[in-house]
Amino acid sequence: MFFDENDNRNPRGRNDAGLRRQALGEHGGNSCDIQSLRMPRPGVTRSGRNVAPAGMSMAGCGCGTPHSDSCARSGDIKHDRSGHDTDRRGWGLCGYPLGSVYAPLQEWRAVYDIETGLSRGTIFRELDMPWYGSGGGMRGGCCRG
Amino acid sequence: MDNNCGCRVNCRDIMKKLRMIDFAIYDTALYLDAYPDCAPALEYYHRLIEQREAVLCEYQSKCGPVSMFGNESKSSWQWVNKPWPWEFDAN
Repeated sequence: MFFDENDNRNPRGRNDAGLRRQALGEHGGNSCDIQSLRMPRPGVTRSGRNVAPAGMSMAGCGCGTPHSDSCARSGDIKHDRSGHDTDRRGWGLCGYPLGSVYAPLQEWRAVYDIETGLSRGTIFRELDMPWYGSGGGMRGGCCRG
Repeated sequence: MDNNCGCRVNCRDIMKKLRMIDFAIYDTALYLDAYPDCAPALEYYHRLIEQREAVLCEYQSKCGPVSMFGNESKSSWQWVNKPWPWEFDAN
């Protein structure tokens, strides 16, 4: 997937560009660069509390700095002309709220008959969602038309 | 294909049924991977396995082997007579 390095309109674009620069070592490096690549984001517990990933220091270089703290001091974070934080303390996501990802447990219910299951690509009615592809799906699979 | 009882068997229909069952088993297995103790899912799985055995048996006795593991004849290698995966009849 190609991302324009100068396109920072969305968090993903900004973060991927930041990670790519880290991988290429364009900003030189210290030990934090390696840790950042292994665990690009600080961990978040179920209660929403930020924790530093195992083996990552909470002090010193800033790699283990909890995300919310980084953002609270977003004024301290240096940005280049593209808006990327040059010392990467904000993970390219400063200004964005914390998010949580969850998925409910699936229940065994509403199972299609075998013929419908094969034709729909799932035997579960509740997973039979109207995905829209475009141009063979090479441009992402969520666009109508 | 004419089978040994003289009736005309639609092998494609039997194969289609087998594929439906196989797909349902695969999807059920994915569910069971996440919920291995789900009783109704296990029951459904076993029901499908029974159906599969019956349909596989019917296909192999009337139409030939589904895979190289199903060559029922002791006197001939029927598997080589089946269409290859890239041939239309195999799909």
